[in-house]
Amino acid sequence: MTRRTMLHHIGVGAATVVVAGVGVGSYRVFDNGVLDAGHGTAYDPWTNWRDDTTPLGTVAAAILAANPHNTQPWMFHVTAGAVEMFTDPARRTGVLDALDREHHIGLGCALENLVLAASSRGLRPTVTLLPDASDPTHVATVSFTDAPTSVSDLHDAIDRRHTNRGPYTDEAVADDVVSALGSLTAGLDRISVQWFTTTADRETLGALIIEATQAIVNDDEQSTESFAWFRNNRDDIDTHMDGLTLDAQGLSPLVLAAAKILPATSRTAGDSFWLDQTRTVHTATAAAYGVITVPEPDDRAAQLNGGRLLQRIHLAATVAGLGLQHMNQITERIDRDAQLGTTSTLAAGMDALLDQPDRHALSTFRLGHPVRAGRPSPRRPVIAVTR
Amino acid sequence: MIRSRSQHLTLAGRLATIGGILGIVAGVAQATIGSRIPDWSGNKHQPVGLGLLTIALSAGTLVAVRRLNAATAPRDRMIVPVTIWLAIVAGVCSTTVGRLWVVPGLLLIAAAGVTLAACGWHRFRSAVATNWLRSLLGILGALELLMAVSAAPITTIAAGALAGIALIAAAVLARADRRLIVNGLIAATLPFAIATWWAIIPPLLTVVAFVIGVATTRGAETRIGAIDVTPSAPHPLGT
Repeated sequence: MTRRTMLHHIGVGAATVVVAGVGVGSYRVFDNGVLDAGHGTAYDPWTNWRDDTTPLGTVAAAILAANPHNTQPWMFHVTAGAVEMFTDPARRTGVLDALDREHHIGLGCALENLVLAASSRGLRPTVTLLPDASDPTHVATVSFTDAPTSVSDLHDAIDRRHTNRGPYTDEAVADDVVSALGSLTAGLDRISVQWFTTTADRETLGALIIEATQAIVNDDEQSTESFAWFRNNRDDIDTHMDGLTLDAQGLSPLVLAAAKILPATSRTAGDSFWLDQTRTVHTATAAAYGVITVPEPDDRAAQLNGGRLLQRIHLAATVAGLGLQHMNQITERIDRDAQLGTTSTLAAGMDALLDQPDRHALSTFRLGHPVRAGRPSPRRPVIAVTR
Repeated sequence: MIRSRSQHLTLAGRLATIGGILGIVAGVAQATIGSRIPDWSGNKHQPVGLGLLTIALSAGTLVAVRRLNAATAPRDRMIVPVTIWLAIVAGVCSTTVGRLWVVPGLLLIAAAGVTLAACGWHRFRSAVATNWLRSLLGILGALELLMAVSAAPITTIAAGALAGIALIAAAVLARADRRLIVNGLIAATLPFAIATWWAIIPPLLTVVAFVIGVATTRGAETRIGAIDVTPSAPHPLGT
């Protein structure tokens, strides 16, 4: 074999290896939907939610609401004059949300979207919370009467509202914007939001969030429950149409593509990534924190109304061009400690930060000017959540 | 021997024709009702694009078989590329239409096996070795098409399809004007690579395709006739 022939064979062999590698990568690009994130059946509800002008169409808006781990814990029964909303107990997140607090906050968020959609369809909504004492899964009934059509900015932002887990810029959120977001409590009894905008307050709250995140990661049961709702690939997304996805993690385009092309990560690696993101991105770039406060955080009606306020704030923030991320690690740990009967240092720390003896934290979120836009999460269609 | 090979090729042609037609039917089903029969169609999130790709590749199979049957003197030359094409289509489409591909896929694999038997393993291996870089270029084209059908929006799909077709064309036309092929490759593949730069693989594929494309055309310039695998031709590896 001459030297030239040998070099030729080496070159051809190298080309073959490279093409094989590109082949594997190309298949991952194809199989994991790298080039069409946010499209397909699992994302159709974000584009066709206005199509149905009947009361059923209000459900199409409701299912686009914020909810814990994108579990979509709802079920609806629609008649000509009302929509009844139920919880779906199969969609609890177990010990991660030990007392079903977030479960009901998510239902409150859906309720708010439903109310906004009713008004835009010429229906005046009347909300009755927990209408059947004998059925705790029946969380609300919304009755309709005819009324003039009223379309609000909040309604029009329903399909643009996405949780933004990416970095925010160092631009502060203007005081008048914060004030406007805090004044969205109309019709919601004893629900309010407390803001933390100073550097000292943000650092204190950020430290509590990191501590709570570390505690969740250290708690195998909570970590396992959280990981169960992570959809690592496109097949899982298309099959379940729920859960957390790589697309919604706020990653840069290059990092997101690499994450989708490389093999799926383990629970431990995912936890490490989450903790690192909480430290270096979520808390480090938060321009402001908001905490929804109520007198009794375990009260179901308060949780539902708190969810309604949370959804209003998220929609209004979207209208204002702000990014918002729900950060409920602290309350997840407070409820977990309550379930286990252990003393919660986080509860004491949060109460001290709130400094309101008669009010407690229901849920927490961060706010800021986002570096990049939030991406939609998969949704089950209306037909899958109605009975 | 020749008569036996002719019978083999006739059988392969029939298998591939039936497989190609059923493949087109599978593609049409995927494109039209794929989302309504997820258990059969593989529950794909781009049923229309994947259905159209399946139709195109299956139609390409029919064209290849027709050319194989129509060829006279250079018929032997067609056997190897047709065999490779059948295998590529059988493999690629196994990812596009789910269970709908079981029958067409098996028929195309069987057809490829029969053409391989007609050609003879030694000749086939020699021809593949001689045209290995062209084969790699064709494979890159198929991979480009695979990525294109999973893309969005439609302009990106079109750019990817153009790039994939250009790569396959370059593999087939490796003996044409070298400058034309290289410039054509650049012009056809760059838009998709630029549109999807953040996805890492498409721009990487473009770079690899360019390097292999240049090497392929250079090799073709110095090895005219190397693909000829007729018994009277010199041993391809010895050229």
